Amino acid sequence: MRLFLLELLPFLALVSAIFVITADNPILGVLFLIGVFLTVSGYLALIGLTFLALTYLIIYVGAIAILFLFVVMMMDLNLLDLSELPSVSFPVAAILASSLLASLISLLNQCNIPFWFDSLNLIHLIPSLSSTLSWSSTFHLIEHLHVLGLALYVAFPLLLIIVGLILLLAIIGPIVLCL
Amino acid sequence: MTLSFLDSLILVIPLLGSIAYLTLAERKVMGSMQRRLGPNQVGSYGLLQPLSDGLKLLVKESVLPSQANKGLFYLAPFITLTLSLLGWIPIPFAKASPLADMSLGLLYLMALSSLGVYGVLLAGWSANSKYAFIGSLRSTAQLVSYELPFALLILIVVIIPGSLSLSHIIEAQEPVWYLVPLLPIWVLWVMVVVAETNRAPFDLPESESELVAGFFTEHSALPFAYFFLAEYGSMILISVLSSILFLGGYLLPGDISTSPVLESLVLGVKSCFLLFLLIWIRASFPRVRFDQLMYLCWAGLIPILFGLVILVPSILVAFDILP
Amino acid sequence: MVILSILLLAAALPFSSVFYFSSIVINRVAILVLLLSSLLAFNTLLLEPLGVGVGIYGGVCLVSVISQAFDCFILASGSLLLVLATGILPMKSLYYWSSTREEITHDPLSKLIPLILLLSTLGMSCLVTSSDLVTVYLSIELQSLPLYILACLYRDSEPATSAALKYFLIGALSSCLFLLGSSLLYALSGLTSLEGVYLVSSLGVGYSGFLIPVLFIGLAVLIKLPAAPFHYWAPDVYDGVPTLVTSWLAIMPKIALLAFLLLYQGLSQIGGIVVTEQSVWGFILLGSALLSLVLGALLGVAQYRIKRMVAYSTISHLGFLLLALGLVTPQGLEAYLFYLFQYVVTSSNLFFVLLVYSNQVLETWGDSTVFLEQPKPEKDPSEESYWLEGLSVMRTPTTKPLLISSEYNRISCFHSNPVLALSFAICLFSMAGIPPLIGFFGKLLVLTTALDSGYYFLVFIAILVSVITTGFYLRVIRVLFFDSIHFEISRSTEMILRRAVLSESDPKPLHSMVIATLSLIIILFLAYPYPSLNSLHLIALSFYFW
Repeated sequence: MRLFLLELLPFLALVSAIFVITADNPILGVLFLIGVFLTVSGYLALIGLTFLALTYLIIYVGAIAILFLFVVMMMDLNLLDLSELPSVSFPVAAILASSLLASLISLLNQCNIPFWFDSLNLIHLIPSLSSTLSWSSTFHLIEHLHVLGLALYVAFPLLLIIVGLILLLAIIGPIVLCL
Repeated sequence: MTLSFLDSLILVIPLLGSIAYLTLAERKVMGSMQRRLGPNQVGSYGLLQPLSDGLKLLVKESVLPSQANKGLFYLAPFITLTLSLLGWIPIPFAKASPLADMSLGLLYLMALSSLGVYGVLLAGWSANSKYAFIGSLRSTAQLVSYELPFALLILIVVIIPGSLSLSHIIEAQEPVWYLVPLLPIWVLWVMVVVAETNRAPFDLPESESELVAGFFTEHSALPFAYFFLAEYGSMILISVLSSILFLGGYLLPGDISTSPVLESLVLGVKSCFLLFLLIWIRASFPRVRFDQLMYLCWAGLIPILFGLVILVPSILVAFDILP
Repeated sequence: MVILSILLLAAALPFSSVFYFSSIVINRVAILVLLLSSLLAFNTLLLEPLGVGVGIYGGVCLVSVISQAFDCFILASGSLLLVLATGILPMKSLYYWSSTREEITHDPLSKLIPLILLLSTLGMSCLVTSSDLVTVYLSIELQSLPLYILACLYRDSEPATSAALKYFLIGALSSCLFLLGSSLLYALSGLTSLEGVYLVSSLGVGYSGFLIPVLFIGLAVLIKLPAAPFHYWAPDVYDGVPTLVTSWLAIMPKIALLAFLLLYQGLSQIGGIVVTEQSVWGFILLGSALLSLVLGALLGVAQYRIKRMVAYSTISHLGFLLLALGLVTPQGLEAYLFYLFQYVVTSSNLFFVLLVYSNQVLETWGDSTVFLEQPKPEKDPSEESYWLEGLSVMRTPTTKPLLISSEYNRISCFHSNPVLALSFAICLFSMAGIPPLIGFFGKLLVLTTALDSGYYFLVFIAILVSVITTGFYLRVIRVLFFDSIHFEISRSTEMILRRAVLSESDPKPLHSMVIATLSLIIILFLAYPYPSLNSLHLIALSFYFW
């Protein structure tokens, strides 16, 4: 069942991604986009990254997609028919996309390294900690929050600071733009 | 999958009952506050009133507006009700008794509450009516804005026990309920909760005098009943949640040893008090204007909460009581 | 240092309304902060211990001689360009030109600008030192997000916002490519640190797999730069956004990104595998160099707005830079560094002059001057007076583009302020590569090293192109010195003009000082070239031979 879902969810995500592009009504397009987000977060939850799945759900589905939907609903976009836009660049785009796809597929075939991002490995990323921890405390630590917290605050504090600065900027930015 | 069909049925049926009687309680309480009797015709003290209301909604004709987007129109109430019911999964009614004890329970609840906006948005848009649409736009703006202080408040509370699991949070309140140290935050919490549940005085989405009935103006009969159930269900859920976060959940003050039945009764009493508080607020305050609502959120609550998010951990660090 | 000062500034800003700091004070503080941190970086530029590089912050950053030198350079030029920000006027004063100087200096917006620019500079200096894909990505975002904000500064003007949106979208595209590339690298190696990726790739998984993600990242940087096949956004954006922001856009991210390209090529040693003469990476760098050279020069000839022209000349300069980078020899690196140095000096001087001109225009006009709708070129394309349009076009009620200089008589720019015009000319000559000026030496170094490495065709093209660019620089100079400027003045504008003549129209003392210094550097480099050349030589050697 779980394996089947693991296969099914990415497929559904792909299908709804295609519908995002082809939908006539922009609102339906955004709804399919939400479908993509939902399936991806379901996938994340299934492979065991619950925290990531939930935050993905909160941020993308709960905030970003709602803003999209909100704005699209308020704008009068029904007049715009996307399919009638001139598609001169379509063949070029198709060629580029297919070549990209081919190269990516050939590339992904080489990815024989097993999936790294599970919680245990994150602990091993922190050498000073993992050497002093006994086994029992390691077991205590296998909770997503703790692992992520350790990774953020112990292994990569600088990145956290940079992200914090970016967020500060994101707060200042609207203030500046609205002044 | 520990979540079997029977488990969920055990949860859902009493929930529906409590929703039904919450509506009756609301009408009765408001009646007493406004010096009138409230429903008293159906059954003694109007006890059968919710049943007859439900029956009436069941047998009525469901009207589909012309030009409405049919699928979305019927999908929206389902989304809303489902999400509001799903929120009960991680709630512990007594020691070790939730349907699924999630370590990220609060995060899950936040995710669900942010998803709940979709039902509102889709219902308003798909009905193709301007009242419903304006109602849903207002409601969405309100819910999305108040999502922020909601999350920040949860963040403040979560810092103290250092866990997102609801049962951990309750256990951590054994010495003292968080209501006592976090009293100012509790006041903010009540305001945000009132806004999140779309209750008066923040019930702008369905202000009858302007918008008929808000985003579900066009929904009738069963779809309407779904919205109604979802709304009162989320009211109960959120008062249970606030009694868990601030009032120690199923704990009694002091170290009285309790049985599971007593524990769940304690939780029930606390939640009933909070529900009464919500009704009380509704009966007491006049409705605010929409811009006042938004101003309160963005210029009042959020700056204060940013400050508190820094202040509370600083206090914890200063007294060296971080988890 | 920068972080602390940012926090300090952010904390100080709410108080500034209470204590009534002027925005100029805040700006000066920011300039001093940048200068000081640049000095700090210079002070810690120790050759011996930093030789191979020191990983800091748990290996997400790597400080080496070259990164430290770039850090110092970025901070210094950041402080230089912040001087420009003293001259910026908020949009409000564009609309209500009667607003007094007091109001302008106490506008909350102009107080926030130094803060935003400091954040951007911080991102750049992080980018230079970063040695981890995550750090690189985050610092690229940190340095470009403030620029998006600044580009939208004049949000009431349609061309400015459309340019800003364009810039934002292109930036997002480039970030996408970068993320795709880095996630592929991560999928292949399971590591994000650049050295780690290099190690894994050299273990024999086969570098053909690593080639594609590496190329993606390279392309993302080239898009941001903007190097030639991806240059289409640059002229529109440079033209549309306010001149202050253009100066920042055209110079600062370029230094940081070019430094990153260099480090990316060298430090991760992915370049060590990929950059050989036949390799794809080298081919892409050189091809992009060639295209940049040719397109920048040819399209630049056709421009009639000065900021567009500057954008195209920037692109052709980028061609030279990429050419030097693609050579992968110590001499090439030296030429690269020197060319970057001279490019920054010259173009910041150019922007100073431009901004002084447009400031004069702003002071004389007050309202809707600089950022107007684009005039239609087919109206009278032959008219040479379009040349200064990017600075100062006024759309009169007759919808006839009108050009003004600091005086409103029929006078050429030269006569209105001879020294300013002269330094403008010096700048342009230096960009064109006329012998005694600094630009000539930059081009000379690049071309000789390219000849040494045997790229005869590229050198030939570069020389040809540099002749063409000289052509369009000379056209500006002709407008500057010999064309008198024609007006059509309606009655209302005449009123304004009359007041304008009364108001001061000289450049601010700080601006004129900076322009003088930069122009002198450009001229007098010939007299005493050793310190800069020697230090660059040392840096280049240390990069290759430690």
